[in-house]
Amino acid sequence: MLLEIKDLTREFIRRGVPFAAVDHVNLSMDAGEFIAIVGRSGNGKSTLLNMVSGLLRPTSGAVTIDGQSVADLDDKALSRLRNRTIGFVTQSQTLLPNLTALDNVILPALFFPDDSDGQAAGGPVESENENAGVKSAEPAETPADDPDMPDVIAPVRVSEPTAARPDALSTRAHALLADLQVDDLADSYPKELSGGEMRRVSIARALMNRPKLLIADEPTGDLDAESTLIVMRLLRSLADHGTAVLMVTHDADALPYADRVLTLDAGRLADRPSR
Amino acid sequence: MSPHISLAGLPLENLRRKPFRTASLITVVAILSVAFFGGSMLAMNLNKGLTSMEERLGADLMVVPQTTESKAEALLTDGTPNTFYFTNDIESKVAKADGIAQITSQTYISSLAAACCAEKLQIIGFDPQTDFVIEPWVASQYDKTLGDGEMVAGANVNVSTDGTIELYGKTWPVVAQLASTGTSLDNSVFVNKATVPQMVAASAKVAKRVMPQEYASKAVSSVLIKVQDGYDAHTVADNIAKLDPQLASVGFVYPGGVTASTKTSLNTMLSYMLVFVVVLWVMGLIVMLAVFSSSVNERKKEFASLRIMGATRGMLISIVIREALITGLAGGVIGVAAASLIVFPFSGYIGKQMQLPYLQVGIGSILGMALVALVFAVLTAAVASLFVAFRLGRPEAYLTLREGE
Repeated sequence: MLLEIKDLTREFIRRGVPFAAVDHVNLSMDAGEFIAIVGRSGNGKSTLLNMVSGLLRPTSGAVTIDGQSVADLDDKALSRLRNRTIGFVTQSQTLLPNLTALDNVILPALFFPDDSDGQAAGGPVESENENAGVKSAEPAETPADDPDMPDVIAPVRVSEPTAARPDALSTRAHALLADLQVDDLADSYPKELSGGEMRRVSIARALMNRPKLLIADEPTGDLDAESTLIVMRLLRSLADHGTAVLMVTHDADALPYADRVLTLDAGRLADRPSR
Repeated sequence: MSPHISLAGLPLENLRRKPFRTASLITVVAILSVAFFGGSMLAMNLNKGLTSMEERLGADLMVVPQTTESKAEALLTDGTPNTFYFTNDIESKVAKADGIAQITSQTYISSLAAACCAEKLQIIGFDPQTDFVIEPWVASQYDKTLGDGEMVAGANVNVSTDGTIELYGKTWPVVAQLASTGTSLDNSVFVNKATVPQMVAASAKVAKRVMPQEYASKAVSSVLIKVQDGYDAHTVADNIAKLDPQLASVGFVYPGGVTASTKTSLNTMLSYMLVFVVVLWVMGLIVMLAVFSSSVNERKKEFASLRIMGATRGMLISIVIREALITGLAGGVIGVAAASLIVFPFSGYIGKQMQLPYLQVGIGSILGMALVALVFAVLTAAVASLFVAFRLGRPEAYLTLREGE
């Protein structure tokens, strides 16, 4: 079990009255599973995702990721978990304004440079990525046969410390940006990008460390239909290669890519038929 | 392919991409450093000037002609050259007074605007046999007895490359040049008493005679006295005044009192300077806090992003502190450099304007104070930034992110 959420609750106080944004939620996810959560605004979706990633503390309940109880981790261990095991695409734009798109994507790889990244998702088979001219793991099944499908899903292995192989990081970041069709903007600063472009750069950043669990909060929120297609196929392909994807969305076009669709209503999670 | 970002390079990149904010912070730190380093250098130089003055004033009491007390005081501190003298033999009369341990006399002549020098020189004739004020000082630079016609020059006197000074159309050999004192003694030349008549004779040939020739060999401008233990300089002065009706109207100068009043002026000035630096520092700190806190909202999102990516609280604090250190160091270096451009080249002018003994401290002290000023600048910036670091590093990054939206 990659993710286990048990009886998770988070209360806030609004006008002096406590209310549960997330109310006794239970959820389990295996590696390679793709779950979409839908629900009206203000029903606790973002709160749930932020508790899963340890960015928000639950009032009660527990989150376990890859065998580690999030509540028991100290700041460093939790940060390492967020950096190495989780990839987070936030609902709002969170690219650093002072860095180029490329440096934004590379940055997460610099926080714990000595960590082995053997934990990354992706198959053992490597093939040449024609776009970026780099080694990348080929999807084991059909996605590579689909001409619209980006083939970057399983990334280049970056097993050496950052300082020893700085170019490997740039190469990988370029490959991710290329597969999200924004590599031509690698040297642009966030203020020079459109909302959709920023969103795609954010997704590339979340994938930089090959997370086991990708959390995506409205990943297609700012995207047009074509970009939505690229992103959703990418997420689907990631799941097909073993990455667990937990997505919150309002976008009906995104739902067919998920294995399961859940609804979050007034903080309570329930099943909904998926594709 | 250009090198990608590094964690160590992130603070620099943040500063580089916010040029206005960075320039504002550096300017504030630079202004603080100018005040701190400049103020400290002035204080240290004044202090050294005073110490030097105290060391050079070995006499407890000076007996000078009536109404020339202020001219004599100016000689001790920082005044213009003067000529004044008694027209009779006063030293032997004064020597009879009770309470005198040592006694010597000096003769002061103001030269004309000498060819060699931009300003007039004070010529001080002293008696090497009895002197206890100049001789120990001269001895530190020149271990022989000063011969007739020879000179010892003060630090600011322009001596020709051949080791001479031209005064009254005559070339005088300079056997030694003294270390700087920060007082008007730096603009003086010292000769033995036997040289004084030669000077007077020489002056008569090129310009107005500085004193009648008949007085040249016996003129005494000041009788300097070291009092015996247990005697007060004022008591000895009273004793002198009572000796002879002729001595009742002479002037008395108390170098110790001159030192004390100079010290009082200096302390007053240092107090003002300290208040000024402290007020400026507090204002600077407030401005820096304002600049930092105004960037808090903008940076909430930035720091929440870093947390989401997996940065630890320590990493965030390290980024903010390193930004502050770079800002503080840059501001400190600029401030110290700017203050140096004012304090060092205009040292002489500042000393004159202050009307206080002003003596440049050594390079070791300057470098030490520059280092202290840099540390001070860096610490000030670091203190101001801690406020931001701890506000942004709180555990629930999601809430910080929401606040920043």
